[in-house]
Amino acid sequence: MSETGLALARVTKRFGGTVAVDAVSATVEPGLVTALIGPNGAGKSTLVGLIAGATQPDAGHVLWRGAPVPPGAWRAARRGIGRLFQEVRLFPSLTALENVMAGVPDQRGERLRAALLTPRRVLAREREVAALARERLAFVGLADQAERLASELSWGQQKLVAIARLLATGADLLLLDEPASGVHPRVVDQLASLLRDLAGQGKAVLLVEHNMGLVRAVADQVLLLDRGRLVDHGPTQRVWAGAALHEAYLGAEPS
Amino acid sequence: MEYAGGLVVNFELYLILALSLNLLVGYAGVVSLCHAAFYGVGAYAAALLMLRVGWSFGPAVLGAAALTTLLGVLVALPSLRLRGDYFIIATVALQAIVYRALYNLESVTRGPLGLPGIPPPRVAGVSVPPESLRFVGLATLCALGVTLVLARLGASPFGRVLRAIRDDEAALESLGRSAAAFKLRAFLVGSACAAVAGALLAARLGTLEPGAFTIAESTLVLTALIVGGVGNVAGPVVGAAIVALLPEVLRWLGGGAAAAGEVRQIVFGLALVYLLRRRPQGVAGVYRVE
Repeated sequence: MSETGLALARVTKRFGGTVAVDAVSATVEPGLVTALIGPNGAGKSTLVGLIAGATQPDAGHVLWRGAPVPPGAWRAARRGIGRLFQEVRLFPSLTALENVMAGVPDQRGERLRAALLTPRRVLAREREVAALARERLAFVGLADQAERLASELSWGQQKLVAIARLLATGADLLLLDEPASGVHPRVVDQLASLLRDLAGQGKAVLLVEHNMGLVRAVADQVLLLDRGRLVDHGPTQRVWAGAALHEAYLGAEPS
Repeated sequence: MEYAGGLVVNFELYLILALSLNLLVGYAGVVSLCHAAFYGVGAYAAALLMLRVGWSFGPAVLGAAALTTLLGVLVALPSLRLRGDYFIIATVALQAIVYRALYNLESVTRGPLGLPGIPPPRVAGVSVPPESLRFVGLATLCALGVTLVLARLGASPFGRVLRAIRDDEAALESLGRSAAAFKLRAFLVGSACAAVAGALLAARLGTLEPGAFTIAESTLVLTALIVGGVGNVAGPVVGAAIVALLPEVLRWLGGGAAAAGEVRQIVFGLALVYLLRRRPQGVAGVYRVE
């Protein structure tokens, strides 16, 4: 069991008669990029939803830093579990900067009484929040897009703003659901170095990805899911050399 | 002067209603059709506090606002579970319940007989008769206060969270905020502000009857807001101005006072259809109500 990272202990989730996630046990350690791969329908997104507290397992435990993940996405997020949605989900009518600012925790101006009665202190904190948000935008290379509406940004830019927003929350476990899908190859390269940086800062990164080039470039270890079951796991090179990967994606070799 | 003063007060009443509904519709993205219920409960609560308990206007406004927030919580509860159209239906039901309660709780509200004899407001020992210029000042003070509160909240991080809820509730929750908690607060503020308008109305008319707080009134405020525009302060100002001034314009054009109300509805309906086709964010708004 991991006291510092994420530990899954025989986590199971059923939808009706289908077992979407079947007794998965694994760990995701800080400082490492862990890739979660598997064919469509393997249960990857379901597993991410379970870790993010959005849904609850039918059996087994999801432990983050030794404690169960509380039910409810917002409670899990408060414990430092951050999620990048596959469909990105920025706030389209907010600017890129406002999107990132919305992620910063501990904002006194979000409390009614403080917002009404202590406008100066709220404004002072708001300046700090804006500065932090600009830093995060600069980290993903979008400092010059701060004032644009999220809905006006390209898909790749939206993904990067969503990552900046996620980082602004201060999350230590980053659940990234297909960050490279649909983005320009140049952005994929940028993503690769971002992910390495984040792991270098001590974040635990769980990368769900179909882009195998990106997985091989950045992942320290791989969890291979097929039809809800963890069929292989270990260092990236070893999983790549194993038979389970090819079986999961191409089916069993004809004998 | 009295005529102009009456117009101004009318505008200010609708301004308070439209601005407070705007916090829900324009910021949090929760379309509600029971604002007249808050308005009515605020009006009756303030009237009863002045009439039966003998409170002066200021405390009665605060008391009415506090009581109305209880109803605000009641309305907020379904919004935490129901989405879109389903929530609107829940607010229609609550609107009907509140109207029926005002109508049938005869021991408290005198029901259809109406509640007469509400004394002119007293502020700091000074009587403020409804026809006086002082009353216009009092109403203006209330409207400015509500405008200031709602504008400040709208521009604050609290307002940003509400706008984020409007755009994508699940995404907001992934950032460690409970959407339910923020929607609840928006309802607390929205219902309390509507109660301020209710208290002003009670003091101005000196008599209340339940018919003023039906779903027709809720619809009028919502339509005015959508025509004016949501998501900023300018939209509700435009919407309230149209509601307050349109009947007068129609009267100038020769229609009788009785016809003005009917014609107003027709004009509003046409304006709504036109705007939804040509300018879905309303005359002065920044956001399109879905």
